[in-house]
Amino acid sequence: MRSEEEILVNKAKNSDHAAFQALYDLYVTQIYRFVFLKVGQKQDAEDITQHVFVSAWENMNSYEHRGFPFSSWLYRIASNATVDHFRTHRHTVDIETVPEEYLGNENDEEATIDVALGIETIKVKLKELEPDQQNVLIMKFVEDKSNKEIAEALQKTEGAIRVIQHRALKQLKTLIDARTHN
Amino acid sequence: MHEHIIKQLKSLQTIEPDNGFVFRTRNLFVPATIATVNISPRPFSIFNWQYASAFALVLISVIVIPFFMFTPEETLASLDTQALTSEIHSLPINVQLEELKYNETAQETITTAVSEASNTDTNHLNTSLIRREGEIINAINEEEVETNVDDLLNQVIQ
Repeated sequence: MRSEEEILVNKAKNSDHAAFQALYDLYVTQIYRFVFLKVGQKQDAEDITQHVFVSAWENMNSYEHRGFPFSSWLYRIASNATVDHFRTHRHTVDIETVPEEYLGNENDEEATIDVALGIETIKVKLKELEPDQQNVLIMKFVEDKSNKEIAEALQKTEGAIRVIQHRALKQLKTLIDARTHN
Repeated sequence: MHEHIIKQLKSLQTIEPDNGFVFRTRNLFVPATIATVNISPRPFSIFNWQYASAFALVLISVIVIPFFMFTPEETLASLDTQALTSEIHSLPINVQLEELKYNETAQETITTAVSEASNTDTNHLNTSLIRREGEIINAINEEEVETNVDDLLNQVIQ
């Protein structure tokens, strides 16, 4: 953990709201992105993201620094929250039906139509993977987390993370190829 | 082998939350709302009204309730302020009534004695009556004495 982040965490554990706001600013985007790619709907992603940070604030006293970034803990809360979400919300909304304006600002000026189509395709196919495979691919390639950090967040070994990553990429390629051929 | 897929995955990094959502959620952690969000235990302070209320309740339970539970009834009766007040108010009245009764009796006795002493019209104090009665008594005695003397003298003579 970076020393600056560790200071913020210690302050937040002592009910320092400013420190927790700083942590929120650091991680809200990546936690929202992680949740959004799993649930596929803006409103649900916002609700779950908010729940993640409120839960984190409420349970700061139980957080123990074990040499990993604070975000590992947030990812673990977010992962559990999405599992609860799918357990209580059986209905799912196809990510393809979500209006573009709900998908953040990924449509930058330099983004081409092909890239946009590729993004939409991978978002859809990502949701067809197993939850653990989704988690690993998002954290590894979207959020650029190390295997060690992913293992900490998902409570698995680094070896297990490598296996899941390999299988997830293979499965995702199969799904995309099948879509292309269709 | 998977470079293309990895490249596509990295393109998802452009996804960002709505600024309004970020601002709204961030405001949950300002001091004004933190009291409703924060569940970490607060440090004890007697000036905290919640702790003060709880402390007062405990104080009542520990001290006041056992006091009333284990205090004899006599003490409880003596603590009846209404009874005490009425008792206090009735005491001088009773004393005054007793004094009035005594004074009334004494006054009657004195009045009787004074009236008797000052009454000159009573028969036994009337000098003329006493004299008349004395004369009567003397007359009666004289007749009896004279008769007796005569009889005795007659016997001696005979």
